[in-house]
This record gives sequence, structure tokens and C-alpha cells, in this order.
Amino acid sequence: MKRYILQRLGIAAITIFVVITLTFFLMHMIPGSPIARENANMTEEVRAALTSNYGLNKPLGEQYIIYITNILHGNFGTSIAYSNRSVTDIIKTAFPVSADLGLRALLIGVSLGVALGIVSALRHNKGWDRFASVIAVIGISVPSFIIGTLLQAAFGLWLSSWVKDIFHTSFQLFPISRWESFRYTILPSFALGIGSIAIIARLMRSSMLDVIGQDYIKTARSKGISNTAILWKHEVRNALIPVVTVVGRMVGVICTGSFVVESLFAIPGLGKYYVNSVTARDYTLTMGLTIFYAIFVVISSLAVDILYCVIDPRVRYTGVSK
Amino acid sequence: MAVQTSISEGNKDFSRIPKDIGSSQKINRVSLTYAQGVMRTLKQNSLAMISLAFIAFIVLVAIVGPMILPDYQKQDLLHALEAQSGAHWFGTDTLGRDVLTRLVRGTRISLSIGFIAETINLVIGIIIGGISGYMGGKADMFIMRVIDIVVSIPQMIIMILLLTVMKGSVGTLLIALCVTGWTGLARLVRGQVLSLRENEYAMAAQVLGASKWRILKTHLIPNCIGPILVNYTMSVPGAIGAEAYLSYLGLGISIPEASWGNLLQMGTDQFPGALWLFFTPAIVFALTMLAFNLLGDGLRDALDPQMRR
Repeated sequence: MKRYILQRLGIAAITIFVVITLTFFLMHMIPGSPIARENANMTEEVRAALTSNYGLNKPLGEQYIIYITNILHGNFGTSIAYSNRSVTDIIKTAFPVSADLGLRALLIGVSLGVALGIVSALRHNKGWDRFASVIAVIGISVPSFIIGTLLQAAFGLWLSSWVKDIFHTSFQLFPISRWESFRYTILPSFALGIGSIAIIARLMRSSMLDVIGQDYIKTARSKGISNTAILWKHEVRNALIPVVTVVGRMVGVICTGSFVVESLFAIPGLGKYYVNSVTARDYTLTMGLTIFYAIFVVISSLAVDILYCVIDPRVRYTGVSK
Repeated sequence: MAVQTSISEGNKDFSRIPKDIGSSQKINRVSLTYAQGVMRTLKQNSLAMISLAFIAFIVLVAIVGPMILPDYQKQDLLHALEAQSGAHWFGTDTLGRDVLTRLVRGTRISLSIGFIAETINLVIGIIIGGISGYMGGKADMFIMRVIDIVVSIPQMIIMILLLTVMKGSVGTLLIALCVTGWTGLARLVRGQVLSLRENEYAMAAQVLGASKWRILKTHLIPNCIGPILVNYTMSVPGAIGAEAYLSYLGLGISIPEASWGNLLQMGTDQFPGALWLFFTPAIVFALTMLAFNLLGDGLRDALDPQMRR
């Protein structure tokens, strides 16, 4: 087990190093200086001062070493577009928002997905199962930006105008942009969570069907245990094992929010900053966010894997793809 | 024996049938090859068949459509943002371009990206997975470590980063999709090869002096074709979706070229003022994704021997 954890730690370290190197050199492959693009009519002195301020006048190798050293000190540099904010500062304010959105979406995905999966397994090949499968396939097929746009239209526009026609009062059930109180979080969380509902429902269904056919369920039934007890104590509990594995892997990705949903709903999370930094050519911010994102995903999946290794002894032998 | 004789002699309702060894040995069940069996199961799945027909139709439109329809870039500013009419069946966009023509062109571009990207991934995956599984030892160790690293980097990040550096076009999108896309198939193929190479027929071929390459080509790869086919069917919509996602963020195919992604982007931009600009591409896009996923599901069921009766 010690060997497995060490091996995983080694791979994680190499991965993070590869991401940093790749990001750094890819971003420096873009022709022209990022400062020249930002403002065309600045004087020569100002440009020189800015260039040396961002360390862009040094040779590439030296810049790379400085960049890695700074990252090891938790310093991702200063943003170019938001000129007085450091990238670390932006991450500190944006990450909690993204994590909040992501965890809400995950909560929706897990609770509804598991419920849908159980129902369709219990009504295998009957109406409810068909209905749930259709919902699941639609959830996988329709991307979040289409669902988000439709949700915005339904709640921001159609529902409001319908209520206005009948009751002659202005009314908005859920706000369609920004991130302030609980009401603001509903639509974006659903837009982000619907995809995970679909994935989890399908997984839960097949896992439940698998468990229902097992011998220990027959044993439990022949011992005279009630159906409810069998369902909750044996079937659901055992069927949840693969679901928990998948959800564990999803946590890292979903906690960093979503590029599309955050842009669509104007939520000041990591995804929105990332998309803005790409369009505004804010290279330091793009680089910093890419690396932060990669480090977070790698470390969280590492943590989840090590946790499994501690909980489930079977993983120790098959963990790293052999 | 004694009982039997007494029944047949005592009862006039029954008569003795003369022995006919030839016909009793006959196998009445029509023998089916694997492929025929799969097709038969697939044909019983109406959803999968409808999906297959829909995909065939969309592919046909993508091939034939642009030849029949006029230039998809033609602007007509006097008739910008018009709803459906006789002249423009699906309306016009912000610069007066015909939505139907652009949708058909977009279908060609998006489908090409999906199919080409996944075919490249398929070839890379089969080669690398095959080598890894068959060679074993150090080569396998090395390839698997590389895959572990590639997989743990979030795919969307790599694609966005590459498209920030390169200008978004069909070629750069294909590169972005294929840099990391082959890993899933490589793992799948490797797993299949590992389980198959222990089979006796592979050993028999080896004993008979077949080269490693020949065993891989004629025995191992044809035997793991099933799961690979399912994986391919499920990955094509993934690639099409990734194109839409990236173009939506303004990183993929840029106007005046048409793709489902940038049509959808314009649709959401003009939403809800010009509903046709959103709903036409959204419906076509969602139906195509649905069709691929349903067909993939159907294929998986049909290829699974336990599901076949």
C-alpha cells in the first residue's frame, strides 16, 4: 500500500510538472508580447518598464525557472488585464464561488440521479424505467449551455410574462444572472447538475440491476427479511459502491465550476475569469488558472484514490492500471 | 421398456414412427455468424434503428446538401434577422445569411470533425493499445505511465490552451481533440488484448509460427472489435459536443465558416429576440447527439452475448 501511494504521488508530481511546463511554453509560443497587444499607443518608456516589470525581457529559460520558483512559493504573478490584482488574489475570491456552485450541482446530480436510478431498476423495462432512461439520455445529449439558455428563457422570460398577463404583477421566481442569495443559485446549479444526474442515474440503474441478481439478495429474501429492509440495507447500499467511486472522481472537476455555465449566468467564478482571460489575452491569468485548475484536479483525484485504497483493500492490487 | 411397448400396442391413438437417423441428427436452428446475430438483435431495437436511420440521413445531408444549396456565406443585409419564410425556410441570421444553408454547411463541418477526430483517435488508440498489451514488460509499463499522466490532466484545459495558442479552425480543433482523445481507446484495446492473448487460439497461432504482428492483426484485433465499435459510436458525439462547447466559448470554428458550435453561439447571443436562430441548430444538434447515444446503447446490448437470445 505504501508503494502504491508513493507511485501515485510520483505520477501526480510529474503530471503537475508537465502541465506547468506545457502551459508556460505554449503561452510563450504566441507571437508578440502580451503588453503590446493590450495598448497600442503607449510610449516606448512605459512599454519597456512594463516589460521588465513582468520579466518579459529576460531569456525564456530564465523566465521559466523564475516562474516555477514563484509557483512553488504560491505566487502566480500579476494579472495583465486586472493590472493591480495578483492571480493568487483572483483565485482566492473566485474559487469559493466555483466550489459552491459545483457542490450544489453535485448535490442535485447525486440525489436525483440515485433516486432515478433506483426507480428505473425496480421498474426494470416498464414505463418508469423507459421514462428515466429517456431523461438520462437527454441529459447526456444536451449540453449545459443549451439547458442553461432554456432555463433562463423559461424562468426569466416566459414564466414572468405569463404571470404578468394573468395577474398584472411583475414576478420573477428565480433570477437568471449573478450570484447573490439562494434564489440566484437555483438555475445555474440545475444547468450544471443535469449532466451528472444523467450519468449517475445510468450508473445506479445498471449497478442496482446487477445487485438485485446476486445470491445474497436471495439469501436475505429466504431469511424472511422485509422488502423495504432488503431494498435499503442490501440493494441500495451495495449498488452505491460504484456510484461513490464515480462521484469521488467528479468532485475535483465539478468543484472548479464550469466555463459555460458561469459565463452564461454571469457568476464570478474560476470559469468566468478563465474565459475572460482567454478572450482578453491576459496570459498570466490564463497560465495561473490553468495550472491551479490542473493541480486541484490532480490532487483531489489523488486524495480520492488514496482514500479508496485505505477503505477498500481490493484496490491495492489493481489500483494503478497494470 | 416394457411400459413403453404396452402403451404403444394398447393405445390406438399412437403409432410407431420408423427410425430416421438422418433427420433426427439435423440441426433445425439456422446457424448465425457473430455479425448476423448482432444485426438481428440490433434490428429488434427500434430506438437504435431509428437512430441509425437518422444518422444516415444527417450524413447524407452533410454530403449532398452543400452541393445543392447556394453559397452559405452570402450576405443580404436588407433581409437580416428575418423569421421563417418561403424564401428562407429557417429564417436569416444577423447578416442576412440563410440559416438553412448555414445549418447544412455546419452539419458537414461538425460531423467531419466528429468522425475524423474519432477515427484518428481510433487508429492511434489501436496501435498504442495493441503494442502495449501485446509487448508487455517495460514498453507496456512506460506507455501506461504516459497514459496515466495524460489522463490526469483535465482534457478541456488542454483543448482551451491549445486553441488559445493556435487559431481556431477545423485542423487545429482536430489536433486539440486528438492530443488527449486516444487514451481511452488505448486502455480499452490493451485490456482486450491482455485478456485475449491468454486464449488458446493465439497460442496455437504462435506455435504454428505466426509472427506477432500477424497474430495481432488477424486474431486479436478482430476479436476486440465489439467494445471498440461501441466506444467509437459513443465518442463521436463527444467530439461533436466538444467542438460546440469550444466554438460557443469563441475558441473553435469562427464565422464566416459555419459549425453547429458557432451557430449555437449566435443563437444564444440573439436569444430570445430571434428564437429560430437558437432552436433550429439546438434541435438538430440535440437530436444528433441523442441518436448517437441511443445507437451506442443499442450496439452495446447487441454485442453483449448475455443479452442475445
